Amino acid sequence: MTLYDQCVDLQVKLDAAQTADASVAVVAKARQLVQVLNEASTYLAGIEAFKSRMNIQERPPLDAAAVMEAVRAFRGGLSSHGANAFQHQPAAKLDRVTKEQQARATRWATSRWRELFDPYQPLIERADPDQMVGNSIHRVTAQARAATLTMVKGLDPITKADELKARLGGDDGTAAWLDTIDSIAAQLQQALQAIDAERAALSPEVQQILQMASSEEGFALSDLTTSLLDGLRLAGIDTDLVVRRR
Amino acid sequence: MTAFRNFVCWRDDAVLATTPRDAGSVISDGHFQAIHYPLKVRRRRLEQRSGGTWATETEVMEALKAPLRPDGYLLIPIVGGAGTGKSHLVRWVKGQTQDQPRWESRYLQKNRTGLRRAVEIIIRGLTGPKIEEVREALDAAPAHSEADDVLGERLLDELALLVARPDDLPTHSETPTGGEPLQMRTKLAKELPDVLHDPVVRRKLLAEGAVIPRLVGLALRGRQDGDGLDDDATRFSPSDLPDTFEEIGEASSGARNLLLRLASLSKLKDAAVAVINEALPVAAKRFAVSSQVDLIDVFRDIRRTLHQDGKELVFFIEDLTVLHGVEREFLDAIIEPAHGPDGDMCGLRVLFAVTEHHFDELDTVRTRCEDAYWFDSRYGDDGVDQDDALSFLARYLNAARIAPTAIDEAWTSRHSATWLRNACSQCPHQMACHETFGTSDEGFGLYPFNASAAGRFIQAVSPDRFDPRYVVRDLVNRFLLQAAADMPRGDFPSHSSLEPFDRNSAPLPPLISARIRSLRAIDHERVSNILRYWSDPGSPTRVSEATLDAFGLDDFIRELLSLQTLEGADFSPAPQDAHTPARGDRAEPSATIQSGLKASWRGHFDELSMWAGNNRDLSATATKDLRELVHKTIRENVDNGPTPVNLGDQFNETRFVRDTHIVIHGSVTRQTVENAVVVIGRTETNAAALQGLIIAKELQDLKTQDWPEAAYYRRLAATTVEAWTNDVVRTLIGSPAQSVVCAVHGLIVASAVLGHLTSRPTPADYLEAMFHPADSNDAAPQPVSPDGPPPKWAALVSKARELKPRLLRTIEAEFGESRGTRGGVRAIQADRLLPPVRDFTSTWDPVSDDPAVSAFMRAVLPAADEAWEALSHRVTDVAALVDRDRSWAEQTAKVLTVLRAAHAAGRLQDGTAVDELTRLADINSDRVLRSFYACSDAVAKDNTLPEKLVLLAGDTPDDVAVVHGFAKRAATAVDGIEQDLADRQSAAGGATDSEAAVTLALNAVTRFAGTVESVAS
Repeated sequence: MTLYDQCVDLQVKLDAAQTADASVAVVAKARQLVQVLNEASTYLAGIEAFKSRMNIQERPPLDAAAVMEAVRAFRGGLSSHGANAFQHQPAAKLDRVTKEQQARATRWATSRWRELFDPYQPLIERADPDQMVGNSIHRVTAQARAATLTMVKGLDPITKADELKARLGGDDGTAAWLDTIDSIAAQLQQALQAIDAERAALSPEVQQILQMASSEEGFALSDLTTSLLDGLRLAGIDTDLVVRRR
Repeated sequence: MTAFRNFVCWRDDAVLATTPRDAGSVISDGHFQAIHYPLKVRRRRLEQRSGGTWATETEVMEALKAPLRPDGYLLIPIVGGAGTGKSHLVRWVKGQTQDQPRWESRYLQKNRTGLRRAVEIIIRGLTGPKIEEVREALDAAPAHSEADDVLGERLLDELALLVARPDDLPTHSETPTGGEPLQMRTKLAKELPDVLHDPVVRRKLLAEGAVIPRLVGLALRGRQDGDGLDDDATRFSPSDLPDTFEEIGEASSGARNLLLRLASLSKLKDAAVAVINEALPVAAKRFAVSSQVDLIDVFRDIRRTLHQDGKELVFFIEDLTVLHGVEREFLDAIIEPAHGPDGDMCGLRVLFAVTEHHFDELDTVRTRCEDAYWFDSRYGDDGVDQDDALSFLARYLNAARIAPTAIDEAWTSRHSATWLRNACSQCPHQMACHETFGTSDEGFGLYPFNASAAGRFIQAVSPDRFDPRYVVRDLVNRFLLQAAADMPRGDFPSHSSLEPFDRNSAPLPPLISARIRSLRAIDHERVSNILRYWSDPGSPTRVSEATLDAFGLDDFIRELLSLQTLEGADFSPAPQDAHTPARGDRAEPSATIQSGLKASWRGHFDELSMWAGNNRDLSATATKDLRELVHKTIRENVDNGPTPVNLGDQFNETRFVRDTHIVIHGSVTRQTVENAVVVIGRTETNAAALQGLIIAKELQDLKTQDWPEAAYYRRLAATTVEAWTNDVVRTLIGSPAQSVVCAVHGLIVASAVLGHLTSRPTPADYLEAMFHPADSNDAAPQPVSPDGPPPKWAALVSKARELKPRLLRTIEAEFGESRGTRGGVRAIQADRLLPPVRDFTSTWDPVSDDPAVSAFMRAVLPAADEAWEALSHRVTDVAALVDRDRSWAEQTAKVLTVLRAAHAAGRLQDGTAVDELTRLADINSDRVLRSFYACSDAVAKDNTLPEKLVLLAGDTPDDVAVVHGFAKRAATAVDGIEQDLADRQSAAGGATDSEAAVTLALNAVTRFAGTVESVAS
């Protein structure tokens, strides 16, 4: 076949491919837009449920007017250009506006969720491993509860609802989650209190050592005496302390 | 009375009787006295090489008669070269003293006196015990009874015995006592006998004319008249021993070893010859006389006997070498004092002839000799003057006019000193003859010479010294015999009779010779000879009418007058080696035509005279300048002539090359005549023509009225140069040289390679292609193909581009026509150029022997084959992709349209394809497809070399490269697009329903809008 003949055939194929490429592109665009719209719709529906469970009266700061305007323009395009409208500007604008509203909703929802943990924040901070000296069981308990609260606080309550459900339990959603959160916080508080009690029972020298060891300066090894070491052993916390280079 | 014309007044038998080689010893007493003329000699010591006082023969005789030395002897040497008259003087003195009282004379002639004969003469008529022993020894000596060949074998055997004991030899020189000479002598003593015994060596030494027969002959019989033997003939020479590989190769092993060393070591060979020569006298004495003879004892015996008789012993020895073999003994004997303890001996007088250096190593003898008398006078006023010479010659001429028997009878019956008559006195032509040709002081007629001719001839044969032998041989013997033959035929004086004098005689001016040649086509030679030799000194045209008439040239008298108009040209340079101008020499005129020339050209002018007249070769400078002058003159003639030639730069370098195409015979310069066009022979006409050219070049303002000969010079030069020009023109318009033919072939091929040749060329097309200027862009590879032209073809094109201008210059030089030396070629001699063109193009065989083009021609076929194969490959590679029935523009446009569409659709992977293909599509779009298919048709059939070259050197390869490059690139791009389409289709899984998509989208929008309202409100 000559080049010329080959090119004639190729031109037909290209034309057909071009046409096919156009249809595929429209469908792809349509699918993409549908996906964006559906995701946004689902999220917003999740917001509704979240508000309801959490008894939040406040509304998310959505721009409904912009949404409606974009919807109108898109629908007008469809009526005028049919499927090709998916490739036109109104479709693109609708896509952008939808994503913006979903982002607003997400910021609002996560903000409301984190606010629930504000009361427990001091307990969480006390459970810092560096700050705790005492019986290891209480220290572990305190640290575990504090970690759970911190991790849960960082999750999106809409999109990560399933994970929250797995960690906080309860089929009815948010209400049960709040109870669980309170319970964990209480356990955290009890563990901290037990640690405080243990600390109070120590000799003043040992407490001073523990205080100095918890400070930035630390406790100098040269200051360690046999009696102090015996006191630490006696308190059962000698193994909690280690020597570090300054 | 017959007329005095070509009169031969001498007799051949008289000439022969008068002119034996050695007049001193062979000639009869009558003739000896008839021809004798007392030549002057110089008296000086033997060891004194020059100077001395003049002496006469009588003084020599008186010296011999003088009182003896106190030792009782008197040794008087006569010294001179061969033929100078030594023997003559010895014989004359002997003749004058034969009646001297109390002298017991012994006369040893040079000729026919061998060693044996010499001893016999010495003891002749004497008696005594020793003398008798000598006689017995002579009778017992091998030479007395054995043949020469046996004696030769015996001589070699004696030599072999003697050289084995060199220390026993009575050597003249001191025996070496150490070092290399002693080593060589010792070695030779061991090995030289083997050489002398070797059969091969003996055959060489004993061969006819070889050294041993010569030595045997000398010892037995002495020299013979005219045998040409000299002192060296009595000795071995290095050349006598075998020295060629062939001669040595056949010798026995022992002899061969030494001969090989002798051949390679000259010192050893000289030493071997010296040892042999030391042994030679002893060996000669043994076989010729007897080893029993002690000459000293014999002399003592003789001298005592003579002393008792009151006599003196007197030796007249014409040549001491007759005593070779006993010379040393003889010399020792004669210097023995007369008075000794063993008694008194007689006085001894010896007059002997020797050559100059004979006693150089014999101080004991030399210092005992009296003053010597030397024959070494020059011819001229400070030696033998012309009057002496004429008298010397005239005596021979007179004797040659008298019957030999008459002379001998007159001598025998003489009563007074005037016993010899003057033959002229009875001649009827005496008066006219003597008036015309003159006489000697003695009144003998000089005819057929005159004083001028005789003077010139004697001068010619006496360049160094007056040489009686040559005078007698050449002026009397040869000349008179030849003249006697020439005169009856009217040929006198012929070239044969004058040949001995030619080289050393002043020539006639070439202009005169040439003029004579033109006037006397038949006998110009003898006329020239008469003017050259018989004319008065100072003028070659002054010859008496009587002289011309006597030689039968009375009809030349009127023509002679016309020659005298060329008198101003009379300049004859003296022969270069003539020491003293003789009476016959001409003096240079005060003003001559050539006196106005610059020194260099005047020198050349003179050289030309001697070149033609004396056979003297021209000097290198004269040859060069004359060739240049001839070259320039001919070139100017050609320029002004009708022959179409190109006189540009190449003319002098190739077409008419001074040093190649002009040859002057008779020059010291080596010249090759193989390619000569103008061959200038050594003739008087050419000499005069060249002199005329010199005058024309250097003396352009010459006034003819001042120099009458100038017109003749001009005519002669013009005529001669025209002939030379015609020779050159014939060459210029003749067949071109093979190198030029090769250049034509090379130029045709180079033109074809450079694309200057059309397909199916006519002869005119070939010429046009050949003269198409070679442009630097000719057949330059176009950047249309990344591969470029095949390397061999590219190299061939490059070579052709470099070669064509050079070949074109050669062709233009050969076949072009220009105006003047600086004008460009304005026409071509197609009639001469086309034959070699046709010859080559009928075969197109690119083979050449000429180194200028052979390498290029050899490269043609391989390069063409390589390029043709590459071209064929390109054509066949894309032939299926190209549509023959559709225009190239349409095809390229379609491809580019599709590729651009594909590119727009993102389906073209080759990002630069569109640009590159667009560029290719724009190159010669109107012709590339036509060229492509023309090439496609061509490669499908057998093609001749020129057909291939025309195609390869034209636009076709570039056009094919364009089509090939486009098609290949486009095909690759199209294939890529096809593949992309297939890949994408497969990935998409088929087409999608857009309506469904719209529906889904609308639903999603509705839901989204609802949700937003719900959440936001």
